[in-house]
Amino acid sequence: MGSFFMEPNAGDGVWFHDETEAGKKMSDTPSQRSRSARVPQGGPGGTPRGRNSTDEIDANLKRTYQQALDLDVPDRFRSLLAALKEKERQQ
Amino acid sequence: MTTAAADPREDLIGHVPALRAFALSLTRNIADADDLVQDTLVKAWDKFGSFTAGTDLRAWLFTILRNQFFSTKRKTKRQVEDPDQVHEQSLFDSPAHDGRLAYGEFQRAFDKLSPEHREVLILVGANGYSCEEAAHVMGVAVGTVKSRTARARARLLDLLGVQSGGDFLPTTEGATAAVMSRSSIRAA
Repeated sequence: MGSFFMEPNAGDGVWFHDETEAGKKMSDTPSQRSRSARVPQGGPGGTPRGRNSTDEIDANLKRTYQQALDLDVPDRFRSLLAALKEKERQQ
Repeated sequence: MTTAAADPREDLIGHVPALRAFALSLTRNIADADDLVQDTLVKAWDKFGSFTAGTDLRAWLFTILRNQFFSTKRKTKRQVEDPDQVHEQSLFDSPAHDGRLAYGEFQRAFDKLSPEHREVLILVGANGYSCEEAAHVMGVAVGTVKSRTARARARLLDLLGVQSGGDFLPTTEGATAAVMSRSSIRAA
């Protein structure tokens, strides 16, 4: 029967996020685990896990709004305003 | 340094990007958004006598725009939408980068919100208006803005399958989510 060996620091940085092991980091003391569980790190797609969902929504809203702000303004609006100005001048 | 034009109407063109962004959040269709902005500019020009110099011109324009949008929507009694999401895709598909999947999910969920919910989220969450300022633009009570914002956020989270206060983890990326929820390696 073989034995199982593990390097002393092999568990450093390894996190478990399932229901039974939530937030445990192998090298942490119990008090560190408790603190660590409230500050999870690194989520899918580069989204930091643990960021409040409201923050995430606002970040995406700002991004959506900014992308629209960055669109080039079509000439039709400059032409429209020029036409309105000219029409008023003629009146 | 920029200074306000002697005739505030000279400043209108500078507000067009913000008007288009706000219009797009309501219509979710760039052609409809541009038509809405055009109608807004014409109305603003005609009604400029009612604008109080020195006050927030952008907020005044936003009010005209959103009133025009909801008035037209009530008259036509139909949803303003982009069924094929052609414009939405062309506008919002971003280059590959971290968080792209989550953002794509966000966009699809945002599209499914009612215009009223999108409006309040854009004004408060994206444009940075206070609830008081948003209430002024929307012509409703401050309490309405607060409750509508809360409902809009809750609806968005519901569409994304995220519990309030929880992690931003779209459920449709099930396989990835399942793997990531079981274990992850923290960067050194």
